[in-house]
Amino acid sequence: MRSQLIPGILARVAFSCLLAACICILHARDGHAADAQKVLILFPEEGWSAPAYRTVYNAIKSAFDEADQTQITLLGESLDLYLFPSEDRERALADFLRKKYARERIDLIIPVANSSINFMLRYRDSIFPGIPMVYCGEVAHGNKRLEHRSDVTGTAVILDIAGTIELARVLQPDLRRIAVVAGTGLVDRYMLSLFHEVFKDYEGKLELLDLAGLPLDNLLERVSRLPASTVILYLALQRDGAGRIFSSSAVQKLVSQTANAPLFNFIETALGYGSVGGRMTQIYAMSRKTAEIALRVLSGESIASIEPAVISDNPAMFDWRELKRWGIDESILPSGSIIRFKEASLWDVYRWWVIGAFSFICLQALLISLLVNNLIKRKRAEEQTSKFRQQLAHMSRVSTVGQLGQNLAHEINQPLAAIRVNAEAAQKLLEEDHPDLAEVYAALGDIVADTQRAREVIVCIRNLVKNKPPEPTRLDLNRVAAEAVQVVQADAASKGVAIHLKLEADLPAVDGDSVQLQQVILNFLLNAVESVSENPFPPQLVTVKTARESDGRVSLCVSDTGPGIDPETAKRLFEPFFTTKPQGLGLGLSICRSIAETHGGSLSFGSNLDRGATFCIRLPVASNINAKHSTGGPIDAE
Amino acid sequence: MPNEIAAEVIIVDDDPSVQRALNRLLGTHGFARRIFSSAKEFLANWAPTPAAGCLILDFEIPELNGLELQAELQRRGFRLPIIFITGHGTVPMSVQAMKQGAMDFLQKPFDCQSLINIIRKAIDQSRRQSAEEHECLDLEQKFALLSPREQDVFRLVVKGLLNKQIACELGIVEKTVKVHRARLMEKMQVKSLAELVTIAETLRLPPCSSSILSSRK
Repeated sequence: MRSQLIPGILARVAFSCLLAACICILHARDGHAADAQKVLILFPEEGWSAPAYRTVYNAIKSAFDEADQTQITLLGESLDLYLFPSEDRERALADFLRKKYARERIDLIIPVANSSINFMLRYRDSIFPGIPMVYCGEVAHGNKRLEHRSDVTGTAVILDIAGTIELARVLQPDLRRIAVVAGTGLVDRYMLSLFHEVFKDYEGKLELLDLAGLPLDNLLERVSRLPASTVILYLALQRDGAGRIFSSSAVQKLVSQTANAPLFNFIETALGYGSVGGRMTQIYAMSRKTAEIALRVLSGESIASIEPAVISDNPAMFDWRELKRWGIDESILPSGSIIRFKEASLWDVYRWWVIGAFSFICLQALLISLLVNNLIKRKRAEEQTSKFRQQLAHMSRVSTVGQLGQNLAHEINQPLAAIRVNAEAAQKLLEEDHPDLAEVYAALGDIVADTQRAREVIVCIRNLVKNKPPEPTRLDLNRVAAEAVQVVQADAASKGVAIHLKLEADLPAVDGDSVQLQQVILNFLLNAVESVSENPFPPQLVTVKTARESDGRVSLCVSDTGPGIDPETAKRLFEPFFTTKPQGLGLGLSICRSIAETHGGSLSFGSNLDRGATFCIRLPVASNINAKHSTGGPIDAE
Repeated sequence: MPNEIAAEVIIVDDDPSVQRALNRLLGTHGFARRIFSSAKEFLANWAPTPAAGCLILDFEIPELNGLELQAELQRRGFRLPIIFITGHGTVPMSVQAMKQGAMDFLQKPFDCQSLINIIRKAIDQSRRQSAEEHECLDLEQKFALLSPREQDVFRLVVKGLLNKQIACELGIVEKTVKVHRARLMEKMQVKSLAELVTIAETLRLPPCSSSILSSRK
């Protein structure tokens, strides 16, 4: 048992040790991962606030952030090299830095610009021995000594002074003179030397106005009264002739503001400080590239295997505000030019709003005009329709009169006959020895009454035949009905049809056109008479009945004892051009319905319980206002 | 003119003013008048009288129109001369009316003198007709008084048969025929065979068919 126990304990101990080792390893890994890599950026002068160095720092920082290297701590050191013009002082600075970073492990150093690079090349071994160095923004003029060194890599740039002068000549075709501005600082003097090197090619072509090394006041005074056809080429001014130290870009701005000639420069980051533009050294692109290389080195790539990058593309860049200030037309700028600081005009800012609003207004106007046009068209169409309707109604009336021709002749012949008979009777009476004058008088009275009756018939026909626009008046429907019945009476009688009137005594008046309403009733009556005459079985009867409806309207119904309406016909009764009569137009009832509707009323029909059919028109009772003066009557509403 | 006073003119017209005017005109010419507004009213209230008369009938009257009333009167056997007056007569209407035996067909407004003339003519006709009818009625009554055998003999006599032949036809002796013949001559108040033939024509007696006679046997 015991021998079996020992190996068990051993196994347990071994397992525990393994577990502890694993935990240690994991912990160690954790600890290693938690150690951020430190990258130190070394700026030569002017410190963080200078636009160029701010751009460098931001570009590198953002590149690191984008690469998700949250483990990288970015440190910065401003070397302020202009404070250390002598080698003693430089050594003291190096000494200070060595002591400062003695307990700090730096993973990578990035010296920025030539002076900083040079300093680090000299002192790296003493300050940061063995720490990889990725330089940023070596100016690639001169001996280009860094290209062949295997212990450093980084980015180089080109200062395109010649290109900038050419650009100035494009912008100022009459350019004769270049006023060159530079300070007395380290960088200032370096830039100036580069300029002089370039300007050799322009000897004789352009006049040089050397404003380098002047005290600032003097400089400002000079640039304010430059001769014509001059441009200022601003190189750098960190220290003036009086030895005062400035921010180069701030001075550039000041010079530009004071100057009476346009100012050009060639560092991207100085654009916006009063410079018209130039062939710009791309500080941002350079810094990004540096950061990219730095990341490769940090991830373990060997420096020797990384070729230094040269940012050799110097695009033409301009400050829109300065172009405006000097009245330089954008169209003369070389193609591919970049214009910055363009102030957006109201039009630029609100263009889409303006276009939108304008389009909206236009659309709205269009819509309104379309609608108005539509309305006009509709109005016209309505007028036309109403005219047609009136003409149609008239035509229908004329056809009714034609249909009634014989009967109307009878209606006139009747009183005429009576008149003639009365007249001859009167003559005969007067021929007697003792004429009965009272009888003669009575005969003459009858003649007068009969002429009146004949006249009424003629007026009635004339109204029916006359094509006049409907004229709303206050009407007694009973009277209209009675007149209509009188017109068809003879026709009905000759067909052996009796017409009975059942008119309600106290019928309220209606507003309407008497001729049109008479037309409706005539139509009803003629249809009824015809229908009844088709039916040979008595009673051959047509009943005209007026009544006051429960809904307050007034109705007039014409019932007949004819064969009635079969359901197939009933469906199509009000259709225009539908007719059951060989000579019929088929418009009668459809016109009647339209008349009823224009009077604010309705038309209906139904079959009688016993036999035959009933047609009714229902009309609203006249309004209280006198219809003759009313403008909103049912007819006008049409 | 006593003749005219005795005659009666009936006016059927639904138009009151025409009624009044005609009434007045006919009054001045001394006609007796009766006025009705519709065919129905006329038929309900009028009965034929022996007096002569005529009917002035408006074509366009309610319910039964003129032509229908004319037909109805004929159906009832009233032989009253009819003068149509119409507000808008058509040719087919007038032809129909004339075919049905109308006296005349006047278009309103008509010439009063022609109306009066036509009325007179109509009354004359009516009167003549009335007299004939009266005579006919008298003969018919006389004829009805004959015994059946006498009526048979009457029919055969007016056919021109001799007594001997009649006796043979009726299967009786000639002497009996002679007795019947004398009796019927006496009853019909005639003296000659010619008179008897005239009466037969007036009465439109159907000739004795042999079948009737044979059935008598």
